[in-house]
Amino acid sequence: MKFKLLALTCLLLSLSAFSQSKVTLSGYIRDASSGEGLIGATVYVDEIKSGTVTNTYGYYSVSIKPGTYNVTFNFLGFAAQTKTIELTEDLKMDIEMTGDEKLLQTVEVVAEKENKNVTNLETGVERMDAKKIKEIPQFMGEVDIIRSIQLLPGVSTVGEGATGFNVRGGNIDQNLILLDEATVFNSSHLFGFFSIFNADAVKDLTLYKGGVPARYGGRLSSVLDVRQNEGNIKKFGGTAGIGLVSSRLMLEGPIIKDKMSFMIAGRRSYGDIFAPIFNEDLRGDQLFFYDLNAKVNYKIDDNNRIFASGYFGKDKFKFGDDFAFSWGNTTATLRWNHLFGPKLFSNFTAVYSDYDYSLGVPTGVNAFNWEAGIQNTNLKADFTYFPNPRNTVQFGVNGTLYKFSPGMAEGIGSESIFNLIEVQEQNATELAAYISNKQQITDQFSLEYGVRYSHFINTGKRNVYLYDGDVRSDENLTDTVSYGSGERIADFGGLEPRLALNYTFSPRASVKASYNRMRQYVQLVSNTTAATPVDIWMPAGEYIDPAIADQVSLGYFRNFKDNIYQASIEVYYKDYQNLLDYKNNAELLLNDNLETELLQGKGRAYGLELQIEKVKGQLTGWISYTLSRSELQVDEINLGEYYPSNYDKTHDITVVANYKLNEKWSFGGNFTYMTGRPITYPDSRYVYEGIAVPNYTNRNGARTPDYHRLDFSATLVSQKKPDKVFFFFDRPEVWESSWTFSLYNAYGRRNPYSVFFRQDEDNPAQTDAYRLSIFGSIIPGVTWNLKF
Amino acid sequence: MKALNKILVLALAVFTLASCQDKIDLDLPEGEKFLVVEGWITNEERDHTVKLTFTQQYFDATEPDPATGASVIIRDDEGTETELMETTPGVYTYPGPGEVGKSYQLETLLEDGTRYVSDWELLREPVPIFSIEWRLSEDEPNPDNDENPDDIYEVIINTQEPAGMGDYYQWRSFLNGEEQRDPFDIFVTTDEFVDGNPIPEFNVTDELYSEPDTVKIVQERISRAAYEFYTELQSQTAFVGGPFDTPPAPLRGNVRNVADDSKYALGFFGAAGVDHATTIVGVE
Repeated sequence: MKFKLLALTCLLLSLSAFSQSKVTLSGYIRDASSGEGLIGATVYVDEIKSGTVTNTYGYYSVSIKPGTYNVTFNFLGFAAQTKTIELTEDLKMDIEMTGDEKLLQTVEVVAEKENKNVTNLETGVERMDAKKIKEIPQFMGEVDIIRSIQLLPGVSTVGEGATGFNVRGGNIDQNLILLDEATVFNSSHLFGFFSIFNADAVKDLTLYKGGVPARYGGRLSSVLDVRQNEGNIKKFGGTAGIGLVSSRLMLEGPIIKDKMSFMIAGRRSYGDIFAPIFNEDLRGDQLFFYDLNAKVNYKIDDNNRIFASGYFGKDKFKFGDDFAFSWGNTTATLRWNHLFGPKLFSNFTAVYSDYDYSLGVPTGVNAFNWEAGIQNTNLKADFTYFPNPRNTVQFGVNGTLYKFSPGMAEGIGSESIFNLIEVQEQNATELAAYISNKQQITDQFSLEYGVRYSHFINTGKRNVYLYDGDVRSDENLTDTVSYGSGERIADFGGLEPRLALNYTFSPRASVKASYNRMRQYVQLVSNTTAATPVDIWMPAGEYIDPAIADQVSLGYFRNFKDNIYQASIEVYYKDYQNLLDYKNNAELLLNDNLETELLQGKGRAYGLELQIEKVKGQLTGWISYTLSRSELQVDEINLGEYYPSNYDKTHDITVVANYKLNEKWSFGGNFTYMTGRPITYPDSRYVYEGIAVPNYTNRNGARTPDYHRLDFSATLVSQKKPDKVFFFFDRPEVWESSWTFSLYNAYGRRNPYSVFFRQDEDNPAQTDAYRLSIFGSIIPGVTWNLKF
Repeated sequence: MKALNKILVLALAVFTLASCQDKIDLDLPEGEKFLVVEGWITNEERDHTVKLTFTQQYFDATEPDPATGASVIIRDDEGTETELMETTPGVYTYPGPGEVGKSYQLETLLEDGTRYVSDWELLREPVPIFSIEWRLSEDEPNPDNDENPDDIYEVIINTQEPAGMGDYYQWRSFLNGEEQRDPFDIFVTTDEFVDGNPIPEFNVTDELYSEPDTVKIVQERISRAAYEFYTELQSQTAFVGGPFDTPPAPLRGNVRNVADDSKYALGFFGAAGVDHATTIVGVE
């Protein structure tokens, strides 16, 4: 490991020595109307046939020999700008870009770099900006990021009502979800029907399914990096929406013009108001979520910017006086961008996050409250060094302190018969350091290589149980060892090499390959079909090893007809070690020696992803097809044979289409077809004390019937004409309003979520098979949207 | 924990909002035949039975095939072996009560020569029910639960959990002489949350009764293995139909095939220390 780091440092030094005679052109590329930094905008220097892209804060830097250059700045959806620049010394040049719909028709729009999917180094990456996300018709008329990414190849879900998402045969806990650098543990509200991301506040999102760069780590299967708007630094404005299930409001604007801006966005659902209409029994119950995103962005000077942001979200569910359930995420983040000169961009982040969940019975003799949670504090420093246009070096360090509270339950009130019971807290520290370089070797061949080293220490204060021999069970418990606060109980670490290659045959075709190794020290334990928000996150420790995944992928990317059609075919293979699964009939809740219920095993996932996308024209959209397999092998389960994981989906076909008819109307549709998911069917039945009992011998030996669904949406943009609002007020000039109508599950298919077996109520001797569908009918939605 | 289980049931109920359950036809092959053992020994002054049957095809609603002509013995930890007589096909009887403090084991040799042996089960000291009474209930009769407007009484017992963690219990209820036994009637719990506490006004069944129902509550002290068995049994028969079900898994009881461990028997043979109390509702 030391040798590798030394070699890379030498490379760095040689690069910097080489660039002594160069000067740097650098700066920020922003949206002229709002001042938002543009992520991934390209800067192309004609004379050297090379350039760079802006980073997540909109910053670019190009170091070249002094001279006169034609530099083109470009970003999809904006008018390209070409400037002739005489470079004699380091030059700071900030660019403001205007959206291309604002230009007169006579000006030709040069859409350079529309073949980014071909030339881009990244493989297994999907990027979506706010505009694209909003075009996809959604559940109940609400735009949703997690549902949108589920339409991409390689991304799926176990079913409606399931939190999270699965990437390339990986479990929901294997996705690193970042919201402005803060890690998110649970990305869903209301059992997965909505995500915690307010689409109005989101600027950009990137999903890495493979070829994960070295700056990310801690999860095995994917990285979802979500960036929020910085806040319009030029003028005050916002968006609002009122829908059947929830409403939202986003306000942004300058506090000090061109220096300090804010953004605040909130949402609240009120499904519980309508629920009694469908089902009388639900009267008097609560079922809602709310979330709030707040951000302040302050530009101290040309070299320093500070961002402070917070996220507060909560889900609450109360069923009369019988039962209450809630969970929430709170994060507070502070970031500081600092330029150590034009070639070295740095970002320092401090995050505090608190994820907590509880359930219980509010009143009566059985009243109790169960709580659990995870708190973490995260500090990181990330640097990007731009030595020359052919190399971009990234390096940094990252440290996280975790505190896991896996469960505490106590009786409430004097009537309660319950005592307090508490599962021990676990503390851990996760550290990482990485370095990587993105290098353009020749005009056609580029390469990103890097390595990450991560380390995890599980510490006290805690009691550890010792067992006799290999079998861990309560009967074999021999001793208890006490560890003091901060005392090391177990530690793990290792290297995570990363590699991505791109060979571009022509501007229309390329081949990409990648390899990455990921380590995950915290895993989610769940023994239900769909993960519930009260599933337990377990850190690696004395009895649980960290999980490791190795992935290789290979893809061919090809564009047709002047980049209008973009196609790709990608294959991947993943190998897993030490994945957590639970024993048959495991008792997971409030278990102080949870290690007796858990098993670790191997896994493998492989697949083929095909996608063809039309990006220009009145009709846009894509068709994607994924063929895949995801299986596990654990010694004590299924007789030690490989069995399909709960989220294995053989075929997954998605068709997404958007049609912009005219200024007023646009339509969207999407169709999904997926193979059913694995379930366990009984082999036979028997009778015990008069009860008919199904007998199961395998795990996941069968499949539910196939899933397919069609959704439609139509958006009507109100035309700007002077009229009255609420009969009295003149419509403000800046108001743009629209209506979105949606039909979810347009042909009302009762997609089976699961099949279960039960004895007939009236005739106990008879047992039947039933299909459970989460949605059995067409679900319409209407939302009124406003932008001002 | 009953409350926790109830919670899960209620959570499932939420998904009745626009969701549905339909009966479907399925083709399920017949799997391998397993022996099913159903037997309990308690301190009650009566004969006890061990029922031996076989598994059948999943949709077969007929009576399961009994295992006849088997030799069944129950042995205690002092070495005394008692041979059980087959009184009706597949049902073998053990005369009289078991003794508190003794451990028992079941062994059976089937007609085809396979031999099964259960784990040892301790007949624990029963926990007494101090009293039982009926009273007017605050709840409304629930027609979904087959309750009619005359059902206005509830039955409560008064008992105390002995101090010392590691106790497991089961309650059975009898209405007018008939045991109430459908998957939702199973009620087992641990003393984890209530160790050492008095349990006054304990409504075991949460059901409503009318005058003059005879309600008998049986309080059993069982082993941890029995507790786990019933918990799993209930989870696989009652708590089904929701998105948060535990995926089903093999439910191995405590009876093993001596020659081949992979051919286990289903069901459970248990020993329990019981106390019971009876009341006639609505009658002073």
